[in-house]
Amino acid sequence: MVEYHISPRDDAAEKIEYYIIENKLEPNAKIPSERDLCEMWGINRTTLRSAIKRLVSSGKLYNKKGSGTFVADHKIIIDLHSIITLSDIDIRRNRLLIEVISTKIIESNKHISKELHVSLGTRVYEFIRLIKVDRDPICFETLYIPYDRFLDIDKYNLEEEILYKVMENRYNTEISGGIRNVGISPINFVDADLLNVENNSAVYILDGVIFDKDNIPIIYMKSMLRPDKVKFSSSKIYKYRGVQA
Amino acid sequence: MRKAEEINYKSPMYLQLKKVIYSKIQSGEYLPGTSIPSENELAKMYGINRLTVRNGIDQLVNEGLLMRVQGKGVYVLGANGKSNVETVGGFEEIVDASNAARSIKIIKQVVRKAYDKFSWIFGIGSEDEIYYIKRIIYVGGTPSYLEETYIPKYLIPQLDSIDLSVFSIEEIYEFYGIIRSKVNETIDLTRLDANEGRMLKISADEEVMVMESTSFDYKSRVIDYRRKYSVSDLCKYSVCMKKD
Repeated sequence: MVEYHISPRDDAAEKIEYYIIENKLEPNAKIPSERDLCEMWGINRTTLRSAIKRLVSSGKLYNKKGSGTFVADHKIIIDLHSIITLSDIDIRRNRLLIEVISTKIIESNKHISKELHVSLGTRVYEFIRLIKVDRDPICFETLYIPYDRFLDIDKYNLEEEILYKVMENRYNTEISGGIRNVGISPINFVDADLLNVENNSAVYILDGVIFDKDNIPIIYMKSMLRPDKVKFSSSKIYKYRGVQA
Repeated sequence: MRKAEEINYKSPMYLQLKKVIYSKIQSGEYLPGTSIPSENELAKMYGINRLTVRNGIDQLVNEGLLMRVQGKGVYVLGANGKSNVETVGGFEEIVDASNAARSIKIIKQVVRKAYDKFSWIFGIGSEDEIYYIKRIIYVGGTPSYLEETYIPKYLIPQLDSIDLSVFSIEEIYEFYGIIRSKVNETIDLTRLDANEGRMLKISADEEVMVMESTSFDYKSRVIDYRRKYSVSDLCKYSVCMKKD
């Protein structure tokens, strides 16, 4: 096989990425000027610009007019494998704010019935909440919870108390697991306004169901999250039978 | 294959050919994941009839050592440990047309120097070589994923002769006894460059989901690094939650 030489642009982009790692540049730190980088690596300005442009469009760097190029802001990493609501994210409480926008008791429609395994017209709580970190809205979520089983759960201060804890401690419910799906979709103008993003821009759509220990669904949730603020993680562990770890 | 040892010059020709191919698989001349010469080539090479060649190959196919791939040729299979692996966590792909046929087009399968970034990722020298593989995955004929894979060369020195449109990286790992113990995965939003956008038939400013994954073996060495871009309206990921 003929040895392959990566393109000058890709090479410069990798150099910049490594420069950030090697020099432990923090989010929002400024990277050196184009002139300095070109001199340091002996590359031309056009190549460097094209590499920077590529890193900006892929979200690793950003430009500020007149003041240079900066390392992209840190994103909140949500581990989708562990059972958490956004309110449990490992961030300091004073940075996090949950606003309950509305609390209603509604009759379940076909879709909710299917997800919560209840018959059509069953009463369910609908909570709509906006989650803010450092005053930026990052997540707009709607939760559906069976009414009969969690009677008066709306009396708890769900802006403060963690929903799962309330369910476990006050309703004698043991949470065992669930499923979450993540995709992306363009946002409509009403929701765009709430999340403070541009109309029609792409946002994450996260939906999921949480089950108790008898596999009965207890929460169905749908949420929209800002991709400029959040990313998701999950670790896959391999277990081999007959192989010593 | 005890029988193969008893084969001599009086044995039927197809059995003699079978023994030849079997020995070449054993000796590593025909490596798992690579194709063996075509039936015509083998017929010519040994001066035997093509149907005789086919007979010999059929036997090895039935014994699970070779695999026929329509329109491509005959490939050597390696060890298969699939039934012995279980995974916990991680993102699962969900595609709307889950029963639609998948096909793979290789855009690049090359060897390059690691340089700083990948020497850091893999813990190897910056002049050491790595494989870079870029593939498009079609689901039901629609380009749905663009996948870039980086693997240090020392892990599978033979990878350049393996057909990655036939085998998945997972299968190749099994063939060569490479054992993953953990994969860290993240999902983020990004944009492709114009050229890559065209491959997925989307405009350059359209945001795509990217799943970035880093695999580790039992020695905690990084064995591969991948980026998989997916067309947003076609693909979703799913995660099973478990309470710790």
